[in-house]
Amino acid sequence: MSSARYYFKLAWFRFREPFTDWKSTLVGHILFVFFVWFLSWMWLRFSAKNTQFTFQTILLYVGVTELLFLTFLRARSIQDGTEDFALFLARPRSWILRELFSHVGIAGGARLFYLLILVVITPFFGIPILPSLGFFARTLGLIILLAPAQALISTLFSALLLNFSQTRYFILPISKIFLSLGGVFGPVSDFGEPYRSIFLNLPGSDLFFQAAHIAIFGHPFEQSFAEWFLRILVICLGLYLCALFFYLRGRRRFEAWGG
Amino acid sequence: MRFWRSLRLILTANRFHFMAHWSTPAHFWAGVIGMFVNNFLALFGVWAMLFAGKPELAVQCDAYLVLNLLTMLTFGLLHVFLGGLTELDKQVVDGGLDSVLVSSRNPLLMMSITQSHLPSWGDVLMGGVGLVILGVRGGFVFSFELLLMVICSFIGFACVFTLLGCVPFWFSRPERLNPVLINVVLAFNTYPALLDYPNRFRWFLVLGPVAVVGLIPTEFLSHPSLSVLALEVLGVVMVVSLTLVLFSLGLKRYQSTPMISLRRGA
Repeated sequence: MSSARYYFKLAWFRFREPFTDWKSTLVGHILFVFFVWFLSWMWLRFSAKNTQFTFQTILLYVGVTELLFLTFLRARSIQDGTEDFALFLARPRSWILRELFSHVGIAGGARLFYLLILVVITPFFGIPILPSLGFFARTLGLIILLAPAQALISTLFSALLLNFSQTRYFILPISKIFLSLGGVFGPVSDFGEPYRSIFLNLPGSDLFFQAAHIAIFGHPFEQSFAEWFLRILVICLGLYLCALFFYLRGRRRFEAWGG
Repeated sequence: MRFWRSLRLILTANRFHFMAHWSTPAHFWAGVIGMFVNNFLALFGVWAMLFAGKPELAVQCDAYLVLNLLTMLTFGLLHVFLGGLTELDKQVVDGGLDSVLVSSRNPLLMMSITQSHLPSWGDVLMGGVGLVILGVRGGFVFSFELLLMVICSFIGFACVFTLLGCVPFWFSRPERLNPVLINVVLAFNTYPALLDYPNRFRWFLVLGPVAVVGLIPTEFLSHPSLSVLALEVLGVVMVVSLTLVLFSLGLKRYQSTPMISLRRGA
């Protein structure tokens, strides 16, 4: 019971981080507003023909994907988890659970902050707030629903860092796989063939493209909600097993300072 | 004579940086391959979204490739050979300029050689190989134009980072704003959104020294003309002048480490 309280308190503590110095957080999050406008504008220049998305919907789409992506794999928080590993081994807590709750808290707080920014900026792009309430409610639901997947992939990287310090160089490329192939730049459904069919079957599409599609249209693209949810569960299970394997391997071979 | 002495100093410093990078080959190759894959995926992702299966956009697609390879190479060269410039803002905040100010050499030069970023070898590798292939295919004249634009773009990037490094001379706590501005500059010079855009917009970008880094060089390489070359040269001269003036003005406001300690303690 005390363990559960510890994990939830930790998640809540990390969740509040962006709101403690909100002026500084706001300055850092200007990039989000810029990318939402910039990527929507770029999409309009090159891909506006033959698509189901209008400028308003693509703006909301990029808003959701950027919201999810900018909080997806953060090198700093991934490294944080390994820095006190030697000390943590002496504590009666689970390191994996500590990492999971910590990442859920960090990403949850930041994503909520981004969502609030999105609520504020959408009227400036001609999107009325009241008819979009359903969209914002669905996005909030997706932030909660996708939190475990995001936390698990960050935990996997923390566990990998315990084993191989070089993996820190691969955080950026792995995040690019999701960025490029997951439809963060623009809807995968508008990509040219054969890339469209290939990307739609990759996990990145489930975590970003399908999530944004659900937020905007209320349902996933070319699949049922249950099917999408099952795919997310399988991704989470796979990530958890990998994280567990590398954590156990890392704990067995870990060399503390001076090792 | 002074130029060659400075060049020799840069090369000597970078020889030691490289020896440090190479001392653990696993780390070196992990960094290089990681950045190489990162760049490739970013390039491929935008291509797949905007240009794949669209032959009507072939011209823009070629320009997009040149823009990215050029930005990669010059961004990488700056981070590898003059990496200290990219950390100038942090050094100003933390009083890190103390040691370079006591030297008889130019403080900006001394600051620039204090660091070299290992993963940026991946940028240099991908951008360099890509541009060499384009140069060989394009012939002698194109290769010469390419070299000219690489030099201009490199100077442009060095000035952009120095300008951003000057911000803390006037404003405190720039640590959240500077990464945002760097990302904005990179976005304009890697995504194809502004390629072939009306001239008036480009003039605006020259004034806010963004386009000299990649957009105008790409325009020159796609459609070589004296007017575009003049625009790039003028842009580079402007941004270099602005950088030197702001840095020397800012240096007068610099607070050394003991002063920073006193201020923080108060």
